[in-house]
Amino acid sequence: MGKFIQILVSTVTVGSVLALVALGYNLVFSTTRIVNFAQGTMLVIAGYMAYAMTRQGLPIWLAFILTVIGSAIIGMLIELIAIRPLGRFDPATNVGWILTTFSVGLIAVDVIGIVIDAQPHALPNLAGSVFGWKASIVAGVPITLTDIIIVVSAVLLMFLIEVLQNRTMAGRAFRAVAQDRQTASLMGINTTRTVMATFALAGALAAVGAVLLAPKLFVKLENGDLLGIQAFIAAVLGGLGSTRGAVVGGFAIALTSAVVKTVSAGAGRYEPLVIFALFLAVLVVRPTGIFGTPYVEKV
Amino acid sequence: MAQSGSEVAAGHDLATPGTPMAPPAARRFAPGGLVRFIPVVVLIVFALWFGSSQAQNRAWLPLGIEFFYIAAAALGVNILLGYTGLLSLGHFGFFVAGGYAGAIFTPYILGGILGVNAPWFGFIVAFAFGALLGTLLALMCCHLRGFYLTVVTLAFGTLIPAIITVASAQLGGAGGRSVDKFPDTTNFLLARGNALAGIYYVAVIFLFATIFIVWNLTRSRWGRAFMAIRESELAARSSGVNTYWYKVASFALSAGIVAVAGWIGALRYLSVSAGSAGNVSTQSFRYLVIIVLGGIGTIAGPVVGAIGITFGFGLRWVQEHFREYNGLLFGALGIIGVATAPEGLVGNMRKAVRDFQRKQVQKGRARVRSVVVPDLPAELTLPRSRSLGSDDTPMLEVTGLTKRFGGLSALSELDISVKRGTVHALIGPNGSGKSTFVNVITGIYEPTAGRITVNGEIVNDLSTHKRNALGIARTFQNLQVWRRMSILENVMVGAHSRSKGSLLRSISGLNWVEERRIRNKAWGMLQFVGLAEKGLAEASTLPFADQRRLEIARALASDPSLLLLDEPAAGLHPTEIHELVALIRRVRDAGITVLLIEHHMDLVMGLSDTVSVIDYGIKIAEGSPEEVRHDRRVIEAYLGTDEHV
Repeated sequence: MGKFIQILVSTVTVGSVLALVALGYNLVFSTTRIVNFAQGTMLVIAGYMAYAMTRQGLPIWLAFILTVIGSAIIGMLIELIAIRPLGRFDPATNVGWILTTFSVGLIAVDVIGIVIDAQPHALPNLAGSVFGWKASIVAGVPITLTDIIIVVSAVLLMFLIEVLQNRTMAGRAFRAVAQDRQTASLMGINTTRTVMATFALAGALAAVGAVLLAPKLFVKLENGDLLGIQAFIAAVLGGLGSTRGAVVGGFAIALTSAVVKTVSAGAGRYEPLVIFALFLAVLVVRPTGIFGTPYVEKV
Repeated sequence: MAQSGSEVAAGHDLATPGTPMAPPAARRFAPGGLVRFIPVVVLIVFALWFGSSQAQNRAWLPLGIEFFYIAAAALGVNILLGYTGLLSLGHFGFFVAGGYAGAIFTPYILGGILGVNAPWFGFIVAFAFGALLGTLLALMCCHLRGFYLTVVTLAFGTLIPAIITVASAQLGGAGGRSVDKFPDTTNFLLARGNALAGIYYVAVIFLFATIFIVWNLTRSRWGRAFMAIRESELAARSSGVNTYWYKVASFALSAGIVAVAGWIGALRYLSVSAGSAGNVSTQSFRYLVIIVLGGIGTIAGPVVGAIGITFGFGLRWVQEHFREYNGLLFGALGIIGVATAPEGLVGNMRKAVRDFQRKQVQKGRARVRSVVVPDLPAELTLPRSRSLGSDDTPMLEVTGLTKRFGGLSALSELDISVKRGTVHALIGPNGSGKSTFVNVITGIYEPTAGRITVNGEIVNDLSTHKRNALGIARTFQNLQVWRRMSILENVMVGAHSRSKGSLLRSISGLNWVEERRIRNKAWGMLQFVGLAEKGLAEASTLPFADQRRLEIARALASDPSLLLLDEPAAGLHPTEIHELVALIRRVRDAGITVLLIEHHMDLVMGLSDTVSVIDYGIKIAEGSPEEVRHDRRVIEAYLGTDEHV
């Protein structure tokens, strides 16, 4: 029972986090049909930004708000540096964007090292500082307020994004730009601004994820690779662009790794292997993910 | 060209009266003759000079070693990225794998099994292991498109450190494994007792071997097939290339080369390690930066890029300021490179030279280089279509052919029989299912029901490339010319089904007799459609109408029995249509059955022996052009109430 609860808690919290980060990939993909390979790094940037502010003595809640804004600006900067210069291109055949987004990620990590430092840091607990509740033990498994806040805010954010994309004019503009940028711009949509908006949103989302995660994973440079790749796998598993997919993909990976880790103490090192195998299996059977639209060849 | 031939002054528009704006012909991709070997000679001289002058230099000699094996690795990655168009972000995984394979298996196999001392065996082991691993990865991801494939390679790369952690007992864990048994290089070539200098010469030879391989590859049927996949996979499949396996082969070759580089790297450091997951993707990314900065899809590009990245990073100033910040440098170079010179240093330089030459020619200051076209009869007799069945057997027969997309029936219960040696037209209004028909016949789509027989043989279960080998060739309504290949190369790939040569023969240059045959055949096809004078120009420079001719030449190069022309007249003006009609007649006179999918009434009526009319996927009429023209249902379907056709 204890193991079961442990797996459950771990799956729900880690799964929500992965889904949250995966949503960042989805947002950018939803307007541009590209994958922002700097998404993981955005998480790191936001984390260090929040750390730098708290180091200056700002209370965590204020640092959090400022980080969300700052990270949105970073998102727009990334669009400006990595996507805008490429001009109009077909993301399916032109791979320049993979290079540029990946480059931005590499640059950012080093810049953090120069401007702040390359050490791991702890952040004050946002949830704890606002609500002030430590932990409860359920069937021998500690559940903290942080866990609950992570899950609740992930669900809330996903709900908001779903509403934004499907029920608002801005969301319709996102989808129109994704389908056909030229036609969208003929219909009076400011495509440049729309694309930028999704990058800003993705940045803000990364900030939320980074601050919420800090009590569990700290603020460190490796998080970019770790979470970035795992969340990306989650997004692809579920089907890029699908919010439902992000959740299912995130939970699938979290469940897999929780099970592997719980099986035995030494099995943890097999975790990446198992996740990779799961990932490959899905890609081989269904390349566009569980909820993605299957690719139809146009002749 | 290897044999004698007549010189045709390029620039004259002999064959294509309908195209007054034809680009200057004979725009070669690289300078011809011995000039193109100058860079290789320069590189050899540099390698020898550097080796002898820096042999004792502890700072520069290792950089030299690194340059030669990194350049070779980048060339290997470029086979996949530049020629085949597949982007891998996990190739450093092969580099690491090559090092481990060499370090572990070489002593084991040599000492334990064979009991001999042949240190060079390590290179074979590294290559074989890398190629094997590459094949395994490719088998899992080559059915994926675009960045989905890239994602799998990225995941593969991050998996390597994970495997090393799992198998830390054998692989030495995250800290790496030392290479204790390595080839004795102290007296290799000009090393004069200096083991490091020996490794330097090993790396030099490896780079030249790789250049030799890639050079041969790009001038072989394999390399051309790779490029065709890059430019349009659909057209490559339709031209008889088994694209899945060719992608796997490209993966394996490129992985093998990178693995050998990894083994040399292991020799140089006497240890192998993968570092973190992030390190694997960063290092893999480094190859891409090298390729993109130097020039993607060229041989000189990756070498030039590697010079910049290795020696540039070896400079004291860079070492002092950026030692810890490789990511910053690579990232900045990557972005600047993609934004300012998308074709890389070499690519953009070539473009500049070409533009300069063209301007000089326009100003009358220079002569256009002539193209030597082999002596061939002006009117070529195409090989008679191979008679597999008797003359009574229809060339193509479909019965009960049905294709549904979801609930929508694009074709329903279609029965069509195409007689041997005729021009059979398939007409119908927009959206009537004509193009679907072509795609089902060629195996792009699988039919929901029905039987397709070609020359008496049921082809339902054959894949697209096999149907091409069987004698079905096609052109595309939306042109699928391989734009960044020469016109001649386009047609040479067209002959893929009718040519031979293994990958091994191709990369070693031993397939030259066959290559010459393919080339001459392609020249013949170009002569036949009237494009020979432009043969060496890049296909993208051709005007629209000529691209249609090129597609026909490419299709003819596979010696088809049945030629499917999918709306060949779309977008052509009347003069060009007139020429097209004449060309199709000549094709039929050569004994090839033509199935003409058309919209254009003039073309169909003047040319066809039989006309089938379909509407909403159902055949509504069939007969001679005259009969069909007066069919009431046809007039209704086609023109509504109008009586005029």
